[in-house]
Amino acid sequence: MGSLNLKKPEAGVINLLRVKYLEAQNDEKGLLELAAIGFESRLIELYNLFQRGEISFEHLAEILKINVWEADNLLEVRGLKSTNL
Amino acid sequence: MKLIMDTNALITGCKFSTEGDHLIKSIIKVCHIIIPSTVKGEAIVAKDIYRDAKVVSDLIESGKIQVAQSTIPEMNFLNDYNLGKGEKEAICLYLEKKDNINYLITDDRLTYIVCDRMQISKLFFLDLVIELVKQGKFEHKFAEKVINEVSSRYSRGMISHSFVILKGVLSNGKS
Repeated sequence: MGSLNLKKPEAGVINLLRVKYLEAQNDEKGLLELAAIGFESRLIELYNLFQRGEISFEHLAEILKINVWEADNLLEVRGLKSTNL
Repeated sequence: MKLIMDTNALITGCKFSTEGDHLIKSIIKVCHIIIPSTVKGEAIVAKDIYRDAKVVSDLIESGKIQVAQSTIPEMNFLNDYNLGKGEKEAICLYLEKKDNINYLITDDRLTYIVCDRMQISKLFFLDLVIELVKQGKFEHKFAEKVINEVSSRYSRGMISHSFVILKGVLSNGKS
């Protein structure tokens, strides 16, 4: 896999979330919302790299751990193009 | 004409229709299409949710799209580019079959650049449509409809330039 300087969460943040995750077993919605915010943020970061031609469309999907059809749909519902031409 | 298609170009072909047929089906009538096995796997997983994935999956099942396995060599420089597995497989597949393949079709800028550096014969989807007009396999008017249909996927420059090239093909009397 090519090298990418994607923002990485601080180790302390991961540890804090791990604790909160264990504490919040009954608050699945809250955790999902938190994960979704992180996902959205990473999606936009990767989309910008994709639009600059620094990563391919499939690579964007792979980093997000979704398949290309899901990636295409996610971009389409946000009014974003899934080509960079 | 024999083509290898990567996912992004395949999505363009499956998402849009002209004259009642998905574009991919119009292309299959005049071309032999091969896709990497990774692309097949993803289409099959997604076919119950996404209509365009179902189109691909049905064409694979009916044998109208051929699926081929390819191996990406370890330590290959391709792994240092930020390409996806299917795109790398498409490139390796082309190299394995290059004597028997006319073009690799991609709608991804990075994939196109890598292909260019590797001297791979490649076309964007829009240029495939124009090439089919040049070869007399698509009517000029049909190609115009196709370009208009898919225009939301491309920048204005790509679309207006495609019309200019297409007009040149017409004035050269090739269609």
